[in-house]
Amino acid sequence: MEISFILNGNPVNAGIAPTQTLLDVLRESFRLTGTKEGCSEGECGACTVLVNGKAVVSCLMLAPQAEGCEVTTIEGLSLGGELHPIQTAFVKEGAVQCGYCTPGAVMSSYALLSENPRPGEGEIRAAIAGNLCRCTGYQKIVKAVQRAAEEMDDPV
Amino acid sequence: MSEIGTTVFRKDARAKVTGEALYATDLFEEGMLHGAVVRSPVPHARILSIDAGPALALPGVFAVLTSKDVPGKNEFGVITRDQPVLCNDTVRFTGDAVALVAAETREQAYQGAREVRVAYDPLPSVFDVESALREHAPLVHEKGNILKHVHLEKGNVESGFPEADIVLSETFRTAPGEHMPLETEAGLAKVSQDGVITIWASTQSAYRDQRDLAHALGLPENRIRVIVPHVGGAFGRKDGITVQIYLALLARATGRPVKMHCPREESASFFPKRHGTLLKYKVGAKRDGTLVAAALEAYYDTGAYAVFGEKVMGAGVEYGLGGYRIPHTQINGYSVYTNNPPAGAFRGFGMPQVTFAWESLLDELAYRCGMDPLEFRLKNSADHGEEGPLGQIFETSTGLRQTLEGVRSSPLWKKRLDLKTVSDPFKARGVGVASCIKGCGLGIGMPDFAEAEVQILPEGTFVARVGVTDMGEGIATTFCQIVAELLGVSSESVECIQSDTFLNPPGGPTAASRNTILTGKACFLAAEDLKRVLCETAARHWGGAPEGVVLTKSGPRMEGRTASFSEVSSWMVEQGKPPGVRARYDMPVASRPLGYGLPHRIYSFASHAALVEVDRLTGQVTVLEVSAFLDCGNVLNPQGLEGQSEGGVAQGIGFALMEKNVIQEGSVLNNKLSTYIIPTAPDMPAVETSAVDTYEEAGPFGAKGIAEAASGSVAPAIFNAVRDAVGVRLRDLPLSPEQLVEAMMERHES
Ligand code: FES
Ligand code: FES
Repeated sequence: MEISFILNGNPVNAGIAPTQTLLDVLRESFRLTGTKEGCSEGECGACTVLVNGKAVVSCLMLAPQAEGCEVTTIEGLSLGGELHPIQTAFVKEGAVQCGYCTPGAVMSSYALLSENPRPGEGEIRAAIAGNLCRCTGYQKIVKAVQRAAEEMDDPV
Repeated sequence: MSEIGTTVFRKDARAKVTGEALYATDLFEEGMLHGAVVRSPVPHARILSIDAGPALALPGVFAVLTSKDVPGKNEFGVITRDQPVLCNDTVRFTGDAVALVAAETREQAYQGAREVRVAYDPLPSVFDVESALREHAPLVHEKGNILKHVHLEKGNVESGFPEADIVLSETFRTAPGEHMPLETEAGLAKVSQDGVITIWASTQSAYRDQRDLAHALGLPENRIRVIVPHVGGAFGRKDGITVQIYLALLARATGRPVKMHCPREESASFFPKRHGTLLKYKVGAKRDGTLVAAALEAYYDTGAYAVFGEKVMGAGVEYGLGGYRIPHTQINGYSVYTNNPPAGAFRGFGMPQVTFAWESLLDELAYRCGMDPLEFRLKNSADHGEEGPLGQIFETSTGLRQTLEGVRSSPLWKKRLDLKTVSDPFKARGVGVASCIKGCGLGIGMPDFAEAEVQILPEGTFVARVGVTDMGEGIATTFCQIVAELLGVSSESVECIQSDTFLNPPGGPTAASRNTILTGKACFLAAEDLKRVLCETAARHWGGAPEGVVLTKSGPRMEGRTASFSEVSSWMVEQGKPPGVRARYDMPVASRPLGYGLPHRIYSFASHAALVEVDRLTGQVTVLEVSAFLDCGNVLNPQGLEGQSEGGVAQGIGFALMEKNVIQEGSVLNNKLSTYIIPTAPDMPAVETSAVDTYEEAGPFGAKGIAEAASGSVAPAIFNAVRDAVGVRLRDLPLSPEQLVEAMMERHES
């Protein structure tokens, strides 16, 4: 079947099998491999993308459900080559190690900061609770989100 | 020094935050097939027959391979090659590989794997080390169930124990555990027209893989090229063959590129785990707290195959009595085969298990001596130049004492009595401390060297080519810092190119906290040599003496003349010089060998203090604060060090409180992220990291590795804090809340 949706700001079409997940379509049809597969069962958060502004694990969303939606992947955050403040904060705070969880964690943080521009530490931890990271111990991810919140709130 | 000791952002961070960084799972090739493994559903059996027919009849299935299709030696393994690539007559664990399937899609490949019909004749099995060691136990391998026995002795425990006033004997158990890297095992293989098989794999050990691939494929090593893209976490899991041989076999047999990407359940069930252990300890001290004698009997369950088994056990027992002064010691370590899934290397290499037990026991001994547990450790810790518990000499930087003194001066430790006060009567709080020791490098008896090549590029920037992999810890950035520092340039103008067995010099595995010292030092030496070449080149061009040339950030300078690095690079071409130089560094070996490849010469140390809260009703333990004091030599990159420390603490908390593979009759029951629980963001306490002031002469700029020690003493610090909080001590890891409640009730009743 054929679906159309908005992907990182551009209208797109894709021929898909009805049982395919959004994750597979993003990775295989569009080769947007920034969205990672860590479990395929909604348990790791590595595949997190934004669908109509909300953080969604794309491995649990069937591709046909994306019809007409606005989908943003990690690649869509730095269009034009300029890093989003969240991405910059992840770099500067050392929130990236192996990086496999990073795109998902950045997308969850993005969704959080869109809804709650000045989250407390507990709110940040809750927002990324579904983004498993085996490398960092999360402390630097939390700091990165705090830093990004400050910088986005206080544009220079 | 501008590059060393300052935070340099990871070179690969930008590519990782934008999603550009490619991992093995992200590779696609035109016309590629997908591979899947047919695995044994039973723990031990003879294979009667294999029928690929039903699988081959499925749409999309392209090929099925069995042991007959392994052209070289059908075996692999890091030290003992006892694991068949594809089982021929016997399967030895649930998940043993029997056949391979290649199909057009990943789903079709796994569907095909389910349809390969294999008939088995079950054999008796063993699932724990005690049963495996009984007389007439079923044999996992014909040679017997003991893969390796290590016996070490110092002084005389027979006469030592009677000298002690207090003697404790305790048995501890630790559960097998999962690495759970976010990226599972994955790779892609392709055969080029000249017959070279290129394998892109998520691996820690490109060069050893190349050797093992050549062995199994019956090809010379120069026909096998292993390239490592970004690695999505490994922690020991990817130190060796996972899917590499399968990929190469399938690509060769089908003539098409083949990709594999293991689903989480497969990854968490069948690939080498952390060893479960049974640890029997005896320790004796004088009333004043002086350690007199200690004995350890350690059993490591290596599962059905050796993988790293003998070395993990051997190294494990090396750390089993910590870094303390003990005159009389005896160690018996056993690596034992069972029909469980194989166990391999996992951050700490056998150390976290014994450290948990030993540091728990020492803590108890301190109580019995009526001493503060920290002062007790300080009283017994060995210093530089002294003899360690096995008879090794601490002949290089030795910071155990400093890490303990660090804890003593930490706010967490100083305020521990106040911190214990909690108003809720159903809660109790406590503070615990523990230390660990971890060798840097593979140990005597395993070739342990690394090479690096540092080149100047025409643009005047630099490249460090290394044979090791950055599996996430950030070592590639460290290498850039080292090269930059020596050449006097910014690390921005240095790039590190990692594992490619055709283009880069060999470096051994990324493992055993060896890379900062080994490859780091090789980079150091190569950069130093390149600096000399650059100065000579400029001097020759300008007609002067090399000693008159100084390198500045922008290029060489001599008596008012300056040039850019780009110009020097072209002069090198004119002068017929190669653009780069290579250097090799061999790990220094201990001056007093103990046998079995022991001991290491260089050790890192750590001490951790933890504040916990225990719920008296449920037995739930929450870690509220951790302070880490690390002896990593001179710090090269503070942010990198914190990253290792905070991640290490997270893994230590998981090890202590959450992580346990439930294995029933050889089958892993919890192989998902929803059933095998690892720490999440809300689980993590505040972690405070400090490096103590030591300098390792052998390492580059005084540094040594810390990745493993940074995690090693977290679990016992937590168990000791629980003891401090509620007065009871558990001896099984991970801590079971039910067991804790029971123990608290028993204590209450008595
Ligand atoms: S891959 Fe979607 S949550 Fe893990
Ligand atoms: S950085 Fe490796 S999993 Fe998060």
